[in-house]
Amino acid sequence: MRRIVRTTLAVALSLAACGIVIFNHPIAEGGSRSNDTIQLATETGATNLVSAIYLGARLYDTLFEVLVFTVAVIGVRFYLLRRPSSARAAPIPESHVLQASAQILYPLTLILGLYLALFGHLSPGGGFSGGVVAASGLLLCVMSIGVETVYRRLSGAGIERLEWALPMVIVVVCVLPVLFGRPILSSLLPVGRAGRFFGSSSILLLNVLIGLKVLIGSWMVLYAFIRHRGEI
Amino acid sequence: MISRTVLLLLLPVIAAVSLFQRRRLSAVIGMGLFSLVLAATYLLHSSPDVAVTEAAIGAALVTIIYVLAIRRTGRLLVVGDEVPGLLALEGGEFVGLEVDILAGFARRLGLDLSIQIAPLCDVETILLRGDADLGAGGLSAVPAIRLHRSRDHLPTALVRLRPEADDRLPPEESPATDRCEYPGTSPISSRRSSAVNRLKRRSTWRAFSRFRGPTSRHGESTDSPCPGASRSSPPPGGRTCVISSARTSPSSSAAGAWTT
Repeated sequence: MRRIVRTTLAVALSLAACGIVIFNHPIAEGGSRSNDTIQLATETGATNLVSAIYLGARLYDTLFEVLVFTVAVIGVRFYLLRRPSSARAAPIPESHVLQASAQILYPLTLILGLYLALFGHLSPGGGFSGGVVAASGLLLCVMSIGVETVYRRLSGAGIERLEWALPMVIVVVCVLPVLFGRPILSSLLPVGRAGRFFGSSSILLLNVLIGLKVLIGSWMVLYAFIRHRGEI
Repeated sequence: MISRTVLLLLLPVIAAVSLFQRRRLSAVIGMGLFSLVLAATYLLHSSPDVAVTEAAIGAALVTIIYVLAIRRTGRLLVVGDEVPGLLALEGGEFVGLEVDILAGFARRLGLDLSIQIAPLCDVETILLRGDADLGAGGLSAVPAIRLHRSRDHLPTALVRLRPEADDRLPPEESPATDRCEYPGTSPISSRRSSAVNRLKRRSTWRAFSRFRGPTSRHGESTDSPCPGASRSSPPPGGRTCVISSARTSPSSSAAGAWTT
């Protein structure tokens, strides 16, 4: 009885919270935009002004964010690689409910991550959140088909080299405009009309690169945790 | 405006509630809930990008990592053989005296109890391998056990008496305490109860208070009597221990413990 009351209360509270968010959504109101924001959108070609700022006007900051993430991944791997591999530990069997639901959820989560990275310049999202969502999808994939299978399908150590190479590629993309006579950290590819998918190709490119970097970095952290601490 | 205030007021409440959770899983779920409400708050404050990131990292990825981390350390893994009365599986549920003690112990530590049935001869191996935190189920008969034992806690003894011809009682006179018939046994007769009393005096529980629980890590296990086990692979739950509730006297030939 107490359990039923608790469950009902939790469901009612969740629905109320969802209602609050949905009915008070500021985007639904269609807020007014000042001249500055319109100007920024036309300059960079991205209607999501957050992306326009952190991959356009303030690309310098984002470079260091990528660096911070890379250092974090290196740190986790440095300390976990010292620990012995826990391949001997008996794996905890997954429940069938978890396995079945993970199998349904992981393609959806991966696609959501891809969408967030690809459309980061048009709608809320971006490379960082897209990469993290896709990493959650990979984790669900691990739960449904097992960690070693996923590791093999991602070609194991090859993907680690890609992870180290990606920050270099991002730096090169940021520096390359110098060759075309434009200032450093400016848009590499031509800016199109704001609101189009290819309206700001360089922000799209950077979002995809950062998303890939975050996805592989998070996967490597998760794999190190699983491998050397025996979780999952 | 009101909704923003409500959500903002909800944040410290959820944080406090999840801080005061005794069970680790509840605390982690509370933290995930905190992230979710925080994401909703960001959304209402016109920052959907931050909300997406907060929901993806705080509510999904970090929560999953914490849940994975407490899957091993958040539960008290007990391994033992089935002993009727102490640790037995009845109707899909574990019952018995040791199960009650273990459940209380796990609750005090804020862990989930997980019992695994294994043959008695394998219990020590499993404990030394670090796949379980605690052994249970009348472990007195294990020879040359190299693990910590719990101290004297409650004198108990399970006896199996060999039937003798003149001992047999008529069924209606058999004591009510002996309703369960085990193979190869007969109800304890009144004349044999002195043997039972003698056995009851020989129960041992050692080092129960020395068990530190899952917070103690492998660095402290230098005084452990099982050095090979704790150094090569420290048990994730802490120090390996054996809960020993019933120790019967080996000299009493008429009766043997159930574990033999």
